[in-house]
Amino acid sequence: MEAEKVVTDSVRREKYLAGTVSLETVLHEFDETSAKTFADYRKAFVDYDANEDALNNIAARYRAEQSQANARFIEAHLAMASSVTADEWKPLAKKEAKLLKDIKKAAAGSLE
Amino acid sequence: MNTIRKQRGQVLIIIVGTLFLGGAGLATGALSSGDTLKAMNKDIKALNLDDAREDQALDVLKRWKKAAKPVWKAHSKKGDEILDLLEDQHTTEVELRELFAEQADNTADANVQVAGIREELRAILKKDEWDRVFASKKAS
Repeated sequence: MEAEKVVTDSVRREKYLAGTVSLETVLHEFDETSAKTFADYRKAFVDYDANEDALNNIAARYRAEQSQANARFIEAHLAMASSVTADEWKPLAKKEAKLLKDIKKAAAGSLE
Repeated sequence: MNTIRKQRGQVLIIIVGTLFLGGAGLATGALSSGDTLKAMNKDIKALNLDDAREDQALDVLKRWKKAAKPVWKAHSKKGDEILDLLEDQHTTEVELRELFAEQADNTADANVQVAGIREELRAILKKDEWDRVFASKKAS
């Protein structure tokens, strides 16, 4: 684990790791929630009798779920960022950013 | 805790589709109908509609594709901006909230647009034709 190598102080390290767990929990929960919402959206989309309002209502539900997840994601991320020093943050953030960029690319490719 | 860490990569692959791309996926057809626009195009042609209605229906898909492109572009750009902010330790909560909200606004706009495009297609196709195009998606 990168954090175990980079963050030498055990208190800071535990705070940082706790932040990563919170962040992953948010992401995992949002994944489950949004998968259900997307499934409902698809179901309504292919139903000839479902009208525009039905779709827009599900989209509004997604928006609310997304906003809630975003707030929790930001909170967890800031907790991680504030738990380590600038020198420690640099390699940790770099690694995280690379991972997220690669995943973003893969996700975009899979949906196009 | 360890299990979560080990699964991190797998979890995030799905997540980023929703967090950074979100409902923009709906705009491309792949997430909204369970089908790609290309497949829908093929299924509509298979209906053997009269020329005028087929042209109308295919034109809707063409405009859908055209509308989806800038949505993807905007989402991707905003996603990159979010990633840059996340990398900076001094990024504030306000800055992050603002960008995430902008991304969510773009998603919401795209979803309203998709619902409108679907209405256009629904106005062209009869129920049985619609069901033939989306039959496999309805069953799944």
